[in-house]
Amino acid sequence: MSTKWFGAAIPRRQDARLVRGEGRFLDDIVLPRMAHVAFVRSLHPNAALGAIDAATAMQVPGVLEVVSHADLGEAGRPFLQLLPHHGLASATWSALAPGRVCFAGEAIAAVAAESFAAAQLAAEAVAVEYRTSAPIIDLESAQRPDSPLVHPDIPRNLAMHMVEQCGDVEAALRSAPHRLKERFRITRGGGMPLEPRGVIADYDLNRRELTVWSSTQEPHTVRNTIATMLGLQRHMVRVIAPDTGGGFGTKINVYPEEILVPWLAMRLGRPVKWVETRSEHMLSATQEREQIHDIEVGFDESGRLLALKNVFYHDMGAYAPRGGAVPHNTSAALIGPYRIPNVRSEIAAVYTNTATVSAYRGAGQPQGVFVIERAMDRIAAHLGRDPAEVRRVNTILSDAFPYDTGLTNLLGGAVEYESGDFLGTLDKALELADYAGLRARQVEARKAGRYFGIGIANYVELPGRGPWAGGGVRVEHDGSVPVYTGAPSQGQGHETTMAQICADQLGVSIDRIKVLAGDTALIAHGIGTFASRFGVLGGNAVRLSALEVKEKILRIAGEMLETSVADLEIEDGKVSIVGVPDKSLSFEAVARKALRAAGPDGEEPGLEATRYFKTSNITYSNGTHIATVEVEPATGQVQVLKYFLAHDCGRVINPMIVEGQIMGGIACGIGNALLEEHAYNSEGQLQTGSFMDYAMPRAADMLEIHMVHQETPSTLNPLGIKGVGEAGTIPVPAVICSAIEDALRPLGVKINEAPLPPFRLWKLIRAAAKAA
Amino acid sequence: MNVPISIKVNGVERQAEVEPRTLLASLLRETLCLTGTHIGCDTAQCGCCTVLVDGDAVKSCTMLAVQADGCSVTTIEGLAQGEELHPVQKSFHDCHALQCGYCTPGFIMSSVELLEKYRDLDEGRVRELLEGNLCRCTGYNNIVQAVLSLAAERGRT
Ligand code: FES
Ligand code: FES
Repeated sequence: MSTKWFGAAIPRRQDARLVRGEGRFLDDIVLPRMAHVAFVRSLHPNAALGAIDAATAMQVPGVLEVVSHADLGEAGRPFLQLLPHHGLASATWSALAPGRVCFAGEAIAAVAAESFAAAQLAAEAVAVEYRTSAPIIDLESAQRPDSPLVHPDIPRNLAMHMVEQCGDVEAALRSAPHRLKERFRITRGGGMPLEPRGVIADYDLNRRELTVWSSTQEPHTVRNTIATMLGLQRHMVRVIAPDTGGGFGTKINVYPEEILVPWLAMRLGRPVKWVETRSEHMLSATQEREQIHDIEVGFDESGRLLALKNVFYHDMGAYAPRGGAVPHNTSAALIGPYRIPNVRSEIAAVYTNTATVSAYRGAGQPQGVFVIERAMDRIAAHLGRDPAEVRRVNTILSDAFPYDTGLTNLLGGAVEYESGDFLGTLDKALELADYAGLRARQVEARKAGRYFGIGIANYVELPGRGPWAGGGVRVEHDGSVPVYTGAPSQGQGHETTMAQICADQLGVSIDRIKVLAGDTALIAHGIGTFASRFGVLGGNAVRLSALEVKEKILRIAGEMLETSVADLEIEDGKVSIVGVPDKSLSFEAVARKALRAAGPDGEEPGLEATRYFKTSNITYSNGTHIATVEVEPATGQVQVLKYFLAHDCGRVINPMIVEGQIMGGIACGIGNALLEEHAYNSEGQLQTGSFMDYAMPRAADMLEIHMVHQETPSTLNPLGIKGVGEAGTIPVPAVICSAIEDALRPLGVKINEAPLPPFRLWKLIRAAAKAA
Repeated sequence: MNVPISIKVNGVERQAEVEPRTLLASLLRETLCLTGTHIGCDTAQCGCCTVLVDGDAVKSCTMLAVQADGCSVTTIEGLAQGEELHPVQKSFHDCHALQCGYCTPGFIMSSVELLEKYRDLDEGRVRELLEGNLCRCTGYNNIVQAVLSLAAERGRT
């Protein structure tokens, strides 16, 4: 097979529509007789609910219905746990709060009205009686016996306690020549897709069919959950994800509104629409990252790690829609590209009265990388060695693959790196950055009294999450080729990358291919788009289907040309006899033959296949990031100057798209490192309820990025793809904090937390000055 | 009490009767079905809703429809000439300056304005001038590149 398309920087095929403003996002959909919904959301973080009085609200002109949990019946029960981790004390949300609320912003009642304005007005008029309790917000004290409880039936708010280990950490620490202990903290942020969440539902009373549009990363999971919660058969529910304006994990979970809106549509017998406001999003969409780590490392003179012990607290927020996936990822990401013979990682995941925590780009991995990379810098400083060299002596060598880290991943499999060249990315990044030159520049800068720092961080990403994904390929009678999958794109560009894979495998121009996704009617099963998984799994599924269709084309063409399949070749949508190029058949001709009654014996009609690719384990991408910063100690202002990286995500389908993913990921990471923080006060009220208070990177916060690709194919799938969606984000807080600490070394400032907005860094600088 | 207004939208005179509280963004999206103008926030921070009002880039969520009475409004739908993309639209496509495309109409409208208004654009200036628009997907660099490449082209002609 020639790879004409795979690996090429093909311009994106969906752009033409999007740049014209012809995207069709959820809020653009209008159905006749559509009613609108607004929610009454809890003002308190921890309260039992008393009477809910809707009398005044019902007087608002245009109001159709006000419902609370008591009206929902079976549809009001808690959702099923999607990832029932061993030992998980599971708490899942319900379509509306069942008698008590666990965070400020939880939906208590829903108002349906003729217009959104009327629904909003009426929602404000619903009177709710609260019997409030003290909330628990602080992660560390949540486990204390006297702490308030988020869920009365879950003692000490403990959602999950898990220990992962290999070797004998205590013995290794005892005998290690050097030991260090540190505490690291990462605070909360959010995915913040620019398109808010939204749901539209339409129930056909005659056919008993429910159609739901949702701005979701997982239409099939939404379908399955709706069917379960509303007592419908799956095939009677169709879920469509229209164009979706970003996801980043925020849209992976099935939210309460995705049950409530369909339920209302069935009850009212008319279409119902809900689109959240940004303020609502800030309060009720999932968030992520808050963790505290207490680590101890043991190492030798050269900086080689002998033991790593880590105990960490993870904030689950109010509910656990996906078990302990995020903290488990942190634990798995902790080792990075390093050989660490003795590891003990202990997770204590606790519930708090804050918005639910679930995956956001990186899903626990940025925290793990932050911890190990901060430790690497401390080891280097302790020994007076170069931080790049300390990383080098610890790096797993290329002959060690597959490399079993001794830990397990969230699906219960081994964290086993299938292939890689970890020193390769380290060396390439150091060379790209001219590391020696940067160090020389630092000497000059310091002489001039400037605080110039160089940061470095390695990471191993856990993309390509299994177990499977599906993709179908069809050749139509006119030679056009629809490719359909179960996973929608929120900007990743599947419309282009899946077409590239299909074009090569089938032997057809990409111009004939149209990728369709995000509709459960297209394909029976799907898991969705998250965890950098779809390129890996969906791509390989599309390959299987394309190959199956190709074989059928060859068989039928062989009969038509009266020649053996072995003598045929396919190029550019034509089948010809090898060496006799003028004797050829178009795909159209073969497709028509396949559909005619007089098609070949034994062949079923049509040219179509739908295959699923199942993987035996997660794939592992890796890379090295280097950043330079200059810090202004008088203000705590950090200017990131330059950014270099070398990364390896296996075989690259489309380098332009991969670079785009990485640059976008870095922006998210810059937010986590310097700007973004979702803050709750001790009363459990969100202090960052809008884009005015929640600072995200803007164009001026981004900087020059230089990158090189290294391609070490995955051995877990025939295309050799590893996945890249989160790679840009994962090491950024680590590398920026590494650079800041390096810049401020003359002042003795230690960076143990992220993010570092100027005020926080200024306080650290001042504290260090006082201590000196 | 509805108020009659008359606005030229993408070159066509449009009449409407609007409630005084109607935002220009809602008029465009809901009444005129021009859904390329997007809504990303409720505090005038994201710029997804940016349109041109008499040539100025305006966040249409911050302006009442009645304030636009008598004005000429250009939305993302008004840029391309039939099949032919506006140079800024084309540049965004060529530079891979969009991923999900939700912020894109707003960025394109802001970019059209700044290319129109400012002569000597360098990278720093473009980054500053795009301060009013948020993008969560691209990391901005390709957007800045899309604008700079047009500025450079203009410099050559
Ligand atoms: S919608 Fe965000 S600025 Fe107008
Ligand atoms: S392209 Fe998605 S927000 Fe900008």
